Parts: sequence; structure tokens; C-alpha cells
Amino acid sequence: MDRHQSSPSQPAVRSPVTVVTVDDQEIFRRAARSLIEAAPGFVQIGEAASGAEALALVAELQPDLVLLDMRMPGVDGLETARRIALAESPAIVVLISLADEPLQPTAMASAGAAAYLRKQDLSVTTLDATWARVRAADQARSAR
Amino acid sequence: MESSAQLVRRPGVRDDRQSVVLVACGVVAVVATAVPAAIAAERPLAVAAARAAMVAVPVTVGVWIWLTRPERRFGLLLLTAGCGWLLTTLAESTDPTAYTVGRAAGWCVEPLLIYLFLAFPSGRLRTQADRVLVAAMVATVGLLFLPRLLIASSFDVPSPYTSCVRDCPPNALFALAEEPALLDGVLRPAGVAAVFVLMLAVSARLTTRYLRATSLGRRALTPVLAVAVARVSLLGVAVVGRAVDPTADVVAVAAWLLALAVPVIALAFLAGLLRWRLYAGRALERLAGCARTLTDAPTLSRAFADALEDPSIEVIFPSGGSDRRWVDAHGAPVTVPAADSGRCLSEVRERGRTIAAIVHDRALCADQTLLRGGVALAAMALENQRLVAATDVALREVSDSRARIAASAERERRRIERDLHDGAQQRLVALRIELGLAQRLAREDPQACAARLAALELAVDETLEELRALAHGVYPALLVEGGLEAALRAQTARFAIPVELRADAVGRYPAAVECAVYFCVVEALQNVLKHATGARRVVVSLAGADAATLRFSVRDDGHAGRAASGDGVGLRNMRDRLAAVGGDVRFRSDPFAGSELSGSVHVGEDRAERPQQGDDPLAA
Repeated sequence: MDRHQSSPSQPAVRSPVTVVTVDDQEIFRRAARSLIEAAPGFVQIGEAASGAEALALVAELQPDLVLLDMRMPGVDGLETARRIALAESPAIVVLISLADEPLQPTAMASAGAAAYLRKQDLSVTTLDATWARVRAADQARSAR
Repeated sequence: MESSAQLVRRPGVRDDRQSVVLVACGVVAVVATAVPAAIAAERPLAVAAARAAMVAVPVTVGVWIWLTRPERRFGLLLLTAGCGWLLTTLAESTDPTAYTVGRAAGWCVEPLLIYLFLAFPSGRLRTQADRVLVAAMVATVGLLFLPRLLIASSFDVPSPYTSCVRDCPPNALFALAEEPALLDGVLRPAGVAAVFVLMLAVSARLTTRYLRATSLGRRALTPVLAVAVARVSLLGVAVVGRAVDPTADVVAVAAWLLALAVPVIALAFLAGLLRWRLYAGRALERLAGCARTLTDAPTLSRAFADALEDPSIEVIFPSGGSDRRWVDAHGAPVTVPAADSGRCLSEVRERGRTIAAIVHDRALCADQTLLRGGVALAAMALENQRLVAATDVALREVSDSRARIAASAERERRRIERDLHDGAQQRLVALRIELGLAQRLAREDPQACAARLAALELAVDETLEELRALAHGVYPALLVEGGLEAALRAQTARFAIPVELRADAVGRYPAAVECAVYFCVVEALQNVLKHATGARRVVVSLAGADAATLRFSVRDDGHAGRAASGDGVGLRNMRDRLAAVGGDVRFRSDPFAGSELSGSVHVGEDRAERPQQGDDPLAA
């Protein structure tokens, strides 16, 4: 398994960020796959088409980052994020959706998600920037 | 009171004219009677007054009844009797011929009087017993009294029709040498016995009738029956008394009482009819008062019983079967009263159809006006009740349908939003991401970028096609541009099973109508795919030849499964959709001959050459 074990004391040694994408739409998953492939420092290690599939996959693969679609039939994104957090997985969850309105930070926080990204804003740059931001926040929290 | 009075009174004869006719009749009768009667030997004035009353009162009352009652028969009979009593006045004459005619008239008028008693107030004999009694009275007069005109030298006195008690004129028709033994041996005793027995029978019959009458019948009968029983009893006693001792004072008194009973009888008829009329008016008024507020059948039954003061009155209804059975207000079977049970059944009809019947006392039959009025009110109340119920059902149906249409529109909007979200929007987002990647690639590897952009072209085409299909599902552009026939032709051309489209004189209709019919046909075609197993051919027909109605049908040759039972959600949607534009849809399924969905929309004058702009097709 390509598990990434980063440490603040060893910033030079940087293995790629492992990503699991969760979305019920095949079209979007395909696009996300291309994006992560093209993004340096990121590697997609799994894809899930539903909340239930995602929970099993996250538990199995222990990814660094989960790109989680909010709107899915059955267990939706927020609920999946909540369950991932409950499972005390170290994975950082970034919620994504097509919504016009940005997600309320409180709703995002209560679900245990680290960030929210609109699907239409996804690009190599935003992925990089978001990861840097959530990673820093995560480390700051761990340090406390 | 005004309205019920109009119901009872026959319009046409005005009050002032009536009064003139009545007064004239009375005066003529008084003069015609009093003048000859005034020649009586003893107390001529009293005799003249008595004879005038005997004729003038019945004639006037008879004419009044004849003028005002819907059943004029009784009035006419009373008038005839009055004329008979006018003839009896001749018995006051000293001339043998006039005297003989007067005495004969006295006999002849008796059966008529019995007829009047028994036929009050309708003027018709209703039972066999009544007819037998009248026939017996006619036979008695014909066989035991009228022959005396030939074989008796003189008539028995005292008589109610003459004040003469001794030295009376002889029988003008007597031509024999002496009275035959037949007269004293048979006719006189037999006549006395027959009259006595008949009077007893008539009294018994009238008493029985009174006792059997409802409170309703007794109102009219009381005055008449009281006088009638007294009169016939008195006649029976007087005839026997005269046979025993003609000179007895009691016989003379009885004769005068019988004479004076005549005007009293006429007044009793009048009083009975007035009481009946007043009562009928009040009953109708009471019924009319509650007819508007009656809500159900038991209340109607009770209202009738209360208004006509007859608790046994019942409103019953046809059971709906072909065997003419009846049920009561609570749905329990009812047996129709037998012909001789004293109760009868009056049917309530509305537009040629029996909607109910009233089971009532036979006495009520005597007043057809009251009965007809009651029946009309019952029909009105029942019709009102039916309309209220029908309106309730229709309103509930409209409200349910409206709710279903709203829910269906809501579902449809959600579906469109979901389709857009899951389809075109996802594709566009993916395109956006891919474009970003292509942009990065352009700097590093322009060749790979060109290949990527070519792939994106395909993705754009796919997105466009998906948006086109979605838009078509919402409202096919061809329906707006080419109308129903063109849109359905395009739709059926793509269908999985061969479809034959038969269109006859299909023009353009309001957009809402075209849209409703289009989606019904499309849904019916989808149902054929889903439910009709083994369907090899579908025929879609559109018929617009009837300018007022657009008809359509979708027929297949498959075997309809249980799902196609005709009461599913799909059919209800179609029904709601069509109902919203004034149409309806029916589903018929035959396990061996396939299924057919047929519908029609009333297009009336709205038929348009072009669909109206601004119509919202989704609103249907």
C-alpha cells in the first residue's frame, strides 16, 4: 500500500498525497481522475460511487484526502463525512458540490470536513492550494 | 300561505266572476223553488223557505265546488242532486201530475245522495263495497219504488218532499181499477225493509271509513260523515215508522228533519272541503318550508310524516335493480302495500325516471292536488339533495385532481432539476476541469493538448444532445411548430415497436390541449412497452373531424398484464392532465385482443389555427 506518512520534521521527504474520490456521477469521477493524474504530488488510489462504498474504501485504503460529493442518493456527503470522522480516520475530507451557494462553515465543521470546494472551481491550482490550507490547519490542530 | 294557496287553487276563474255566478245560481234556485212552494196549504212561508234552502244551498255549494276545485266531479254531482231536489219541490203542488213528478224525483234523488256520501270528496266510488251499496240503492228505487207509479193509487205520506199529509193529490199515472195485491203484499214491506237495511249498511260503511281514516282524512270527513250517518239513520227510522203508523207525530217530525237535512248536508260538504283545503295548504306550506333544507332520505320521510300528520307515511326508493323492488330511507327492503290495504303508493318521477315513491294513506288519494304538490316537493327536495351530493363529489374530485396536478408539476420540476444536475451540469463541470487541464497541457505538450481538445469536442456534442433530449422531454419544439400530428409522427418514428399513426382532420388546438394529448399518447406508448407483453404493433389514432371534440386512441395487440388494470397512477395522471383541459380518458384491456387507451378533449370554439402564445404547457 502506498500509504503516505508525512512528518513535520522531515519536510523534504514528500511522498504523493493519496486521494479517494467519491461521487455518484461517472462523468465527474472521470474528470476528477484526469485532474489528480495531472496534479503533481497527488495520486488517486480509489474511487467510490456512494457513501457506503466510500466508508469501506476509506477504512481500507486510509487515504490522505477524500474528495467527497455532497449530493448522492442514499447516504449523502455530509453524513458520509460525519461517519468518516466518527471512525477516527486520519483522512482529511474536502466536500465538493455543484451548489450555487457555498456551504455554511458551521455545517461543514459539524460534519468534520476540512474544506468545501465548488466542483466548477476544481483545477490543479485550487486542489494544490486547498490541500496546503487544510494540511496546515490539520497540523496546527495536531500540534495543539 | 300565499304560495300554497296558489298550489291548491285552480287559476283561471276570478273571484268576482265566481261570486256573480254563485249569487245568480242561489237567486234562481230560491225563486224557482219558493214560488211554487208558497202555494202550500199550511204555513206557506215556512214551507217556501225550507224548500228554497233544500235547493239553493246544494246548488250554490255544488257550483262553487265545480268552479274552484280541481276535481269538479263532486261539484257537478252535487249540482245534479240540487236539480233533483228542485224537481221534488213539485210535490208541494196540488196538481196530480206535478205532485207525481215531485214524489218520483224524491225517490230518484236518494241513490244520488248515497253516492255523494260515499264518494266524498273525490266524486268517485273507490271501493267495491261502495259501488255495491249504490247499485243496491238504485235497484231498490228502480224495483220497489218506481213501479208504484203504475200500481199505487196514492203515495205514502208524510214525506220529506211534501208538506201535504192528508187529502193529497192522487198518483196521476195510476190507471188501474184498484191497487194490485203486489203493492201492499210485496212492494211496500220489501221497500221498507230494503231501505232500512241499506241505510244501516251505508251507516256502517261510513262509520268504518271514518274509523279507518287517518287524522288527515278525518278532517274532511268529520262534518260530512256526522250529517250523513244522522241522515241515513233518520231515513231508515222514518220509513219503518211510516209503515207502522203514518199518523204518528214522530214520523212527521222525521219527515221535516229529513227535508231540512238536505241544506245541512250541502253545508257539511262545504265545511269538509274547506277544512281539507286549509289543511292541504298548511301541509304543503310546511313541506315547502323544509324541502330546501332536507339533507337526507330519513329526514325527508319524517318531514312528510310531520307535514301530513300521518306517522305512517314513508318515502321509499327504487332499489336500482330491474325487478322494481323498493328500499326505505335506510336501505332496508320494503314491500309495496297491497291494493286493498288502505295504503297506496305515489311515484315521484324526475325527467321520466322514478326516483322515489310515497307510501301514504288512501285518503290522500282523494286530494290529487295535495298529493301532486307533495310529490313535486319531494322530487324537488330529492333533486336538490342529489345535486348537492353531486356537487360535493365534483368539488372533491376537482380539488383532488388539482392537488395531484400540483404534486405532479412539482415532481416534474424535481425530475428536470435532477436530470440537469446529474447530466448536463456534471458534463459541463467535467468539461471545465478538462479545459483547465488542456490549458496546462498547451504550455508543456501542444500536441497532446490538441488531441485532448478534440476529445472535448465530442464531450461538448454529448452535452448538447443531452440538453436537447431534456428540452424535448419538457416540451417538444415540434409540438409548437408543427402541431400534434407532426410531433407524434416524430415521436412514434423512434419507437421500439412499429407504430401506425392515423390522423384524420387534425388541425391546431390551444397549446394546453396539444400538450395534454401529446403527453398522454407518449405515456400510453411507454405503458405499451412496460405492460403489454408481445405487442408487435401499435396504432395511434387522432380524429379531429368533429369540430367540437378531438379524439385520440392508442391501441396495441399485446397481452396486458395486471399492471395495466386501468386504475394505476399513470392513468390517473393522464386523467388529471386531460381533465384540466376539459377532456377525459378511458382504458380498456382484453387479455386476448390487446389494450386500448382512448380519450377525448372538448375543443369547442377554442380550436385555433395557431397555438396561443403565452400558454404555459406545463400548467396542463
